[in-house]
Amino acid sequence: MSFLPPSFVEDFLRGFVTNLWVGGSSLLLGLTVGSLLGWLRFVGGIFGRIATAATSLFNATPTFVAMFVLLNMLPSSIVIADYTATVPKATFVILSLGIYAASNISNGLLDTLRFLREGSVRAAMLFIPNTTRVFVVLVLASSTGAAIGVPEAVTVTLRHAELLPDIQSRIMLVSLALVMFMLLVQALEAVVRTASGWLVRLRS
Amino acid sequence: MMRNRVLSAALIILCLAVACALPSRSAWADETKDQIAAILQDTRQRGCVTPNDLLATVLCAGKIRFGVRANYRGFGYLENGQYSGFEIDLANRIAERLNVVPQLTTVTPANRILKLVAGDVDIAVATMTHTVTRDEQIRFVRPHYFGSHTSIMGPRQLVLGGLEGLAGRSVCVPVGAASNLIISKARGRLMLYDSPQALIDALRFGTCSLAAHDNTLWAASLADERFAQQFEEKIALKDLGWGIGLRKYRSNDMEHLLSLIVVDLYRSGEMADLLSKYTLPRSFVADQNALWLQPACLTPSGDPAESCLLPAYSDVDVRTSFASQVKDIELWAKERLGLTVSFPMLTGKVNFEMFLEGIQNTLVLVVGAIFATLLFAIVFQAGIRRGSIVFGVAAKLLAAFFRSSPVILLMLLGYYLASSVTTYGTGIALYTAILAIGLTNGCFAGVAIADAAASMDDGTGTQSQPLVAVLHRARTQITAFMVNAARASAVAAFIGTPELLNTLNDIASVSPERTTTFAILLLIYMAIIWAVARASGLLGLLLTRQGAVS
Repeated sequence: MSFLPPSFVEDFLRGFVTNLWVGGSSLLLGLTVGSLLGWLRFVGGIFGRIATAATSLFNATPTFVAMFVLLNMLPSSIVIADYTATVPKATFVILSLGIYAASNISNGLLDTLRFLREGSVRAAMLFIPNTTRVFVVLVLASSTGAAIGVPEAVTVTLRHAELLPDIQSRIMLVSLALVMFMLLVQALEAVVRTASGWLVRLRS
Repeated sequence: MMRNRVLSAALIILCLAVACALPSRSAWADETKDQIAAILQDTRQRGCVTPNDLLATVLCAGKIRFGVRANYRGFGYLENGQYSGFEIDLANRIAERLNVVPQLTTVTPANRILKLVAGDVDIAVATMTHTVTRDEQIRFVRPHYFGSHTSIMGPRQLVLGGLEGLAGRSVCVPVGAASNLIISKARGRLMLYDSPQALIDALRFGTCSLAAHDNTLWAASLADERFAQQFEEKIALKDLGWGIGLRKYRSNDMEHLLSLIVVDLYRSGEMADLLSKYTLPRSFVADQNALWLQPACLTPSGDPAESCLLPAYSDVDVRTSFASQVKDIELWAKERLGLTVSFPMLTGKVNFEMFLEGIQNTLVLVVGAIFATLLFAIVFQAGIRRGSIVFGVAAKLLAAFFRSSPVILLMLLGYYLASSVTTYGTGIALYTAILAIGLTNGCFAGVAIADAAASMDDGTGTQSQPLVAVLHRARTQITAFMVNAARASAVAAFIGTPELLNTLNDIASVSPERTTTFAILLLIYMAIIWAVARASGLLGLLLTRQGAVS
């Protein structure tokens, strides 16, 4: 396995932890904003219409482009008194993925509230597995952070691959990373499915 | 013997006479000093009732406002409320020569020209390369007080092989650097940084494969043994002169005086002394020192001779035929709405061509990704519905693989595969991106179609259901994945596809204002996604009609 740098697996797993927390933070942001939007849409009125427009806007926003826009339009550091704090690059990924999560949660919650009003608790419970599925999508999508240098699993793969002497070794390494991604995401999906099933049963 | 002594004495007297008749180097230097003193005296004598030049304003106020860097070690650095660096010392020396109090204000690469033009600072001594484009906005004092070349640094073990090796690699660059266009034309993936320290950290922590900056920045870093063990200069771009910046309006006298002061600082060796306190490259100042000691480089009045002055770096982009109208709009927005907007993609011909190419490639990418999604969806659903266990399992495995693979990593694999068999270029980059996006979304859509077919199974097997009816049943999912494919098209920027995100990022990298450019980028992409969503809706309607017919 001459293509495999000694610390690759360890670095990759550490990078995947970054994917997990970036995905989790985005979901948290999406749940906060999306729940408010979904509830406002359910209530209706002028605020409901504004929330509907905001959800449509979020829906039409490509997260990858949004990440670059936020990166270039927001300050890269914050000055508080004499202390200058650099804004971590992951912030821009979380914000851009938060936009996607918010539109998804807003739509999901609106359906859920309508089902509840109609008395269909079983259909309303679909909100839980749908939200957990969004989490898996967000974990995968957090890999776009590689384009701005967030130290997640794809960045780690790229960093190791670039130092390999020949293209064949790089192809092997990236293929290995894809297989590792598949195994980890499948495992994550299994955990998330079990957890959401457990939550649904608990509620029933 | 006596005759020889007489001849020797006569020769010595003759030499002395010739030497006295010719103006000596020091005599010319005195001319420079004399002229400096004369300009200062003359300006002071004119009084302060109506100062007609920046020089008079500064002398009358008794203070001079310098715009300096605050985050560039060695040149201008602010720590514990104290500025330090070569440019700070130079600013103080200029203030000393003018006999006024220096006031230092922090400027950044993004706002140094804006602050000069707005009159927030009198003079900028702020790591500013003298370029033809900048010459249109402000004045630069020549001779240049410093010069550098752009160094592209990278890990020692990385084999680059010239500018061509930059293709597809992430290169951290400072915002507004003139060399950014060279790197973007070599198809490097630019990552923009406002702060030099952040750029060094980005290279250290592997955020980018390479980092480009003036060699001045790397001189201090390479003094650190650990840094030097890891990184080295991979490519050196052309030498560029740094100039003191002044606003254009009413600053002739100040420009003339500063030009003489810089010449005098070189000739007296003071410039080299100021620089010697810092770990910075000295070759430019040493060369200039030698140059300005040459009598041919000074006119009899002590002014610098044009032939010895370095020209501005030519980064000029031919203006578009509608550039003046665009500039009018920018001015209107500033005056009427108070908004600072700039449209660099519309004012320069090269930028405009890049912008159009970006739009064209984005449209090709979006349309291609949607068609690839539909094509792979049909193939996947056919494989799953075929009934054969081998096909079914293989299709489901592939679906699981693509569903768990980040599209960015699939593109990277495609990029390496393409590079191994052919010369990587725009066309290959587009095909690779379309394939990766199509496979990812197509497998999702294919599984959704197969599920729809299974839900329609009346015991005759999923194969027996007509495709149009199945597509009609799965239309919501199909349209959702078409929109997703359009959304994901921007990710192609990661492998160097010259689509809109990449081209506007490159254009913004040499522009002092980025907000407008990125706002335009977002609006265009949102419009594209909105159009795709509408078109997908129409396709859904078409399938509904077909479904009803069948």
